Amino acid sequence: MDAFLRVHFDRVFAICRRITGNDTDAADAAQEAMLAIVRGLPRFDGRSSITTWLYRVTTNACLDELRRRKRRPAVGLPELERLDVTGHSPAADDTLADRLRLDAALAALPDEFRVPVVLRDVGDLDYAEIATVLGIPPGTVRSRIARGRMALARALGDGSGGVSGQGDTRHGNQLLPPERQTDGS
Amino acid sequence: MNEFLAFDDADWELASAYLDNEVTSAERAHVEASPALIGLVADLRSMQSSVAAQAPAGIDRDAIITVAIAGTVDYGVVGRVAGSGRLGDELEPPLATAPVTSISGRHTQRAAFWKAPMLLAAALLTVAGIGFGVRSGSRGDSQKTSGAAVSAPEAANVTQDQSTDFGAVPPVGAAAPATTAAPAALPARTAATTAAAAAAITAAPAATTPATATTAAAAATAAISSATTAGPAASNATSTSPPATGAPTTAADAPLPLLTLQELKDLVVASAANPSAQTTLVCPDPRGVPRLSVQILWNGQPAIVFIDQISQTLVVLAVNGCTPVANIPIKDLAQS
Repeated sequence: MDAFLRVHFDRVFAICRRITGNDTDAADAAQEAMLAIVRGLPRFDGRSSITTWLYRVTTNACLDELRRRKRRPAVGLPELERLDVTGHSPAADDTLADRLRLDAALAALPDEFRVPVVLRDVGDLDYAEIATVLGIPPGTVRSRIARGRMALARALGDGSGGVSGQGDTRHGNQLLPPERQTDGS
Repeated sequence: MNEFLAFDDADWELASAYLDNEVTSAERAHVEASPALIGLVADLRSMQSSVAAQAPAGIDRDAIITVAIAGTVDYGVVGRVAGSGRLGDELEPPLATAPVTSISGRHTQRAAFWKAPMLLAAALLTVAGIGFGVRSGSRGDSQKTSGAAVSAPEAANVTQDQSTDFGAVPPVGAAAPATTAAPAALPARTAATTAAAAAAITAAPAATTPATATTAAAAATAAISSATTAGPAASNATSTSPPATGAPTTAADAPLPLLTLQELKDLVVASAANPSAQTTLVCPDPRGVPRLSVQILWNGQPAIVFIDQISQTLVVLAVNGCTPVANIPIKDLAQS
């Protein structure tokens, strides 16, 4: 059990970090996920791969953490308060700024778009696995990932002074266009 | 990423799926025939790398894994607290006056959720006339064989004779509600088992062997050194006095020592000399210091206890979620 958890922990935590958007909530979610994995492993029925099941548990733990976060008042400063901003080179500042911009763009994504993108890009799950984890058709996974990435790219473009998105007013300047229904193929 | 607006939703979906190798052969041919789409794929690949790449996190993965396993396996619980040495005081943790410095602010706010039930438990304890206070002044006397009844019916549903100081507790992993803890009574108080005992729940204190330690700290130290031998003795544990509720008591009730806060603090201090008797729980901590501590049941809830050396407080954190449930200034313990 210990070895199993160690093998998967880093990716579990990375997913939690991207879904929750900060280390504090990610640590909480990862710990909840680990507990759920330990408790649930004896009941794992093998209908899906072990990693798919593991990421389903992880995703649920992260979404639970997000729900808890929404219910409680925000206290203190976000992760920025822990960043040491002294003594950075301009290049490092740019890197830091890029990372913060990406974090902000990801955080701005609705959960239904952020989670599949994270499961794909961080968890390295394929569309079928993500569909199983999230309980949605693979076609919807494909659509949501594409739209999530589109929103991310637009947000990053806005922040960098590139594409402003001003020319695209089809969706009322919303970050995301309305989701197109897919046939689940 | 300057050409994004040139693409419609279908292009985005196609490029995204191509990046993920989730396209049909026809779609693949379509993308590869379009330099613009290939450029979009390249941009998406760059962004994908950025999403996947993360800065190192200041967490202790080993500790989280350890806690995950510890939280679900019945070991490591050294005792339980179903109330306090001073009635009411510890049931209402002095969080407002002594902030838990080792956890983030929002976790401190979470503690508010615990105040109401704890206050209710304190009130019910008062109504029941339970004399934890009686115990607080003489906990070091482990030879004591009689005394006022001690129970926490609402806080832990534990009813027992003062002479027996033990009560059944659920396994730590079960996180059973306090009200479901079955009552139990055992004839003697012995030293606590420790986290080093791989099955402390079953390694209950010996039923017929009163502790000989004259102080709680000594008892705790003795427990650490004898934890592995306590188990066999405990397997034969039987109750010599029926629980007040009349419920049968069996060895399966897995009794644990009922600790006063002073004893708890002594136990934590004693465990510091025995790393194997400690549990590490990583909670969000600005200083990033894992907490070496002992595991207990606090009103039936799995928790760890450690001494925050900076604030000089005995801190009790619920294992599940790092929720602070009590924070007791050590100076107050010394006075009690």
